[in-house]
Amino acid sequence: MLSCKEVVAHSEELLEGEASLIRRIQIRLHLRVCEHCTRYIRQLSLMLRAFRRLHAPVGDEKVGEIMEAVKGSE
Amino acid sequence: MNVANAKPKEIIKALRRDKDAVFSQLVAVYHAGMVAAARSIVGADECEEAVQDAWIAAYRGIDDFEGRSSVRTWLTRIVINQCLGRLRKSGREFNVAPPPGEFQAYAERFGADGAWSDPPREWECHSPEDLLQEQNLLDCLDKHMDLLPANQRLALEMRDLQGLDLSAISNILELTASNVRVLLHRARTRMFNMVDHYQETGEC
Repeated sequence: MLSCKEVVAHSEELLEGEASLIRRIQIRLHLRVCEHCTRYIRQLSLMLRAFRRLHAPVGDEKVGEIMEAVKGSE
Repeated sequence: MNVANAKPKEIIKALRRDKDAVFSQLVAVYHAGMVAAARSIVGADECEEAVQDAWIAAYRGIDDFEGRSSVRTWLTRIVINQCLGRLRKSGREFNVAPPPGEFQAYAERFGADGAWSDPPREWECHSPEDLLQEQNLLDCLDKHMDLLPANQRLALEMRDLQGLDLSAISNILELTASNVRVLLHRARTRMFNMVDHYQETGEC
């Protein structure tokens, strides 16, 4: 069975959907009996999903400024 | 039309119909990410200017966009080329490849048997929305992202904040996919440790 350290080393492959079938099975088997790694992967995934929301659209003022520069350079 | 979700070909069509209005929407949606990517390469003082130049280049070169990649990938490539050009002109360098050497994630948190000796805490937030609600945590994320080595920050920005796929990133940065993974792994480890520490102590 994989150690926790090995699960952590391969957890991003799993989250990126790049893990091979064998690797996925190895990780699933470990997670069945390891609450720490289960928590690690759940929270890592949560953090990465939060990162996707960090950039908000910029406001009209900024857009206007950029469009002015863009048009001014024509 | 929602440019963030539209297919590249739809955006091209819309740009032909109403170039300025659609381009303004692209600016609104993508500007913040472009600035963050530029900042990793040219620094805080120059990034706004570099991105403005990139928007100008994008507007001029819009007919070259054929929709084979996403708009975001196309724009990111322009921004990064713009930034690298600036570095070249002023004789500065940007080492994007990770330095060689072994990296053991959370080395101090595992025992000799490879099991957690200092396992992750149970975080109080249970959804991405929860995690983003706390201003102190957001400030702390910002601070720690700034402290990452520039190449790690850029990889994290492109993959995890903007959602570019690994092959696009490795293409744009001229890095092997495995080197991109190494950068991401190091950056994510540091950010996870930071959030975990914050959840435990309430401090950055």
